Amino acid sequence: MTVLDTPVIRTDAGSDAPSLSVADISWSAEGRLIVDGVGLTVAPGTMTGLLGPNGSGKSSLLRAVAGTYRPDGGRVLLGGADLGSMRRRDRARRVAVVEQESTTDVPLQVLDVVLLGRTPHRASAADEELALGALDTVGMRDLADRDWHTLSGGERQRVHLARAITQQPELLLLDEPTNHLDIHYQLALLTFVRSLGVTTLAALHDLNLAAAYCDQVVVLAGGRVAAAGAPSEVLVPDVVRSVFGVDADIHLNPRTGRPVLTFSPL
Amino acid sequence: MTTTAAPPAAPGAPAPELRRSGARTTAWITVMAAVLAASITLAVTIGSADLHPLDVWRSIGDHLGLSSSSLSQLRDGIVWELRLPRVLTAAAVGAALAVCGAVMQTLTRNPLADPYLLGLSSGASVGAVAVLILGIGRLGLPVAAFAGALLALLVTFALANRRGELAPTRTVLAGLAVSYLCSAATSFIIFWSATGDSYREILSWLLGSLGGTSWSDAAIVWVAVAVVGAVLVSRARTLDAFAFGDSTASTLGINVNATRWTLLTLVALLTGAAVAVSGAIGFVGLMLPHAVRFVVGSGHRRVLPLAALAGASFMIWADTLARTLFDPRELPVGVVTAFLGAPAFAVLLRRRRVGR
Repeated sequence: MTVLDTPVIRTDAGSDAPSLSVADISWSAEGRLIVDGVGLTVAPGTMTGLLGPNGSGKSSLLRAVAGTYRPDGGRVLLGGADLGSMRRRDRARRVAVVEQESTTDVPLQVLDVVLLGRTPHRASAADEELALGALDTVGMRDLADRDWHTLSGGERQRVHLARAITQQPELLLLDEPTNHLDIHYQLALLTFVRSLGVTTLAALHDLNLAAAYCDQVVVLAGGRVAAAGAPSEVLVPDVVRSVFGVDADIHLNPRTGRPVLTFSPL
Repeated sequence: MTTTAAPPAAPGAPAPELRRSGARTTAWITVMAAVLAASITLAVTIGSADLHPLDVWRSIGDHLGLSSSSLSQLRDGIVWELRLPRVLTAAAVGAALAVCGAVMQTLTRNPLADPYLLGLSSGASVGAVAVLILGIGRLGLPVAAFAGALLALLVTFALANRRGELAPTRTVLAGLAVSYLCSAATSFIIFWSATGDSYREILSWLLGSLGGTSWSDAAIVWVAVAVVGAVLVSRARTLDAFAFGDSTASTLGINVNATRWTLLTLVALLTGAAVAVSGAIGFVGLMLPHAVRFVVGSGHRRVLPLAALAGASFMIWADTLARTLFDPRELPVGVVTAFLGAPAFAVLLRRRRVGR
């Protein structure tokens, strides 16, 4: 695995990918407004990072887009089709989700987990080949018959990504996919995701990972969009100070020319 | 079991032979089906009167009109009227409980879930006993048992539910509370109404007994197992999708709540059919699914048929022990399954993963 290759590689696989358009989405829980009229657009085959402090509504917005939560208002369009009015199974054929640290009690082999990605599709003899191919993509084909419970956190996240790939989605939603991974797996995972060329919306904690891998970032604060645009335009000291409450200095990564942030308390 | 260790990762190496391969599952199903056939045959021969295994098949052949042997009327009667219905009922009850346990463990993501521990069996007993007292008749029995099981399930979940989550330990405690209440109700109804040997009657409902089962009992449970089992196996992929929890299942296209309640209602139906003929038998639904998963993994297309076959054989031998150990007195079969099952329960409880 050559994860330290320059991370920003554009692939042309996304040429026929659809765009995601989220318009005025709201969602509340127990009377509290968690997501408050969020709108954003993800261009076909690109990756958008969803940033914001804890409790800013990143995960809830992802779940509203995924259809796990039914939003109070607003629309989610994927390539012009309304995801909210779609049958659950039809939606699952287009949208795959990788959640934070999702695990299980039952004995499962890696390949069993990856094959779950075929659940919304008609069963086919080619499923296993597809699943093994996805494991190949994330560099885990040799671990296909390993017990899930013997895997490290990084390996589990890669298996979940392989499961999502096997779902053959047009939209990939990732909720803090790099949480608790060491730096090697953080870079590896996001490199895999980018190489897919699938339209991707990912909630990320680490502003520097977002700056290095995302085509666009959307910053949430209090359930609303505080800023959106290219990382170099959005990740500036003013925005970081007002949203995260810390001072930031911006540098340039000498290898990629992408912004790198260092932080200091106010 | 072959827990293949990970081979050294050589790039381009062929994919390792996978445990999930269909041939392996077919082999296990064939073996377990053969074990079941042998268990049925042998269990019928065990007891007073010296029967040969071939006598069993002669009798079956005669009654199905496939043969006409010179089996004496007495022997034929022991096989066909006395033991075969009982052994076949035991098999179907075992299969039903094991399948119920497997499905409940999956849908509640609780390794301790089974019809007995979550109160369904006791609820079914109350329903069945109430109908017996009212004298509505044999066909009302499974229906009332089903209603009792479903009601007990609803109460257990209502007690255990906290913010939409069913934590395993809390669910078992809720099941225990429901179970105690229903057991008390069953005992009360019998004691209040019975004139004869009420203790024996109470024991057979609370601890299970297959004494005196008839062909109609066997038919009720076999039909229930065949129909409900087929539906559940047809939903195997849906059940698989619950492995990583509700929200992952939902993103895989499953309508989580509708699926859960539909399938749990089917489980209550199957539990009701089993309890209506045998009383509340514990631990079969808890142990057998875990044992099967340990051998073939968690895919429900494999687990459900194998759990059914293993549960059937297990129950046949548990019941054979129950009726022969203190012959001519009979032990409630639930005593035997508890002796075997309680240690398994303890092991599961101590495993860290159960948690909370």
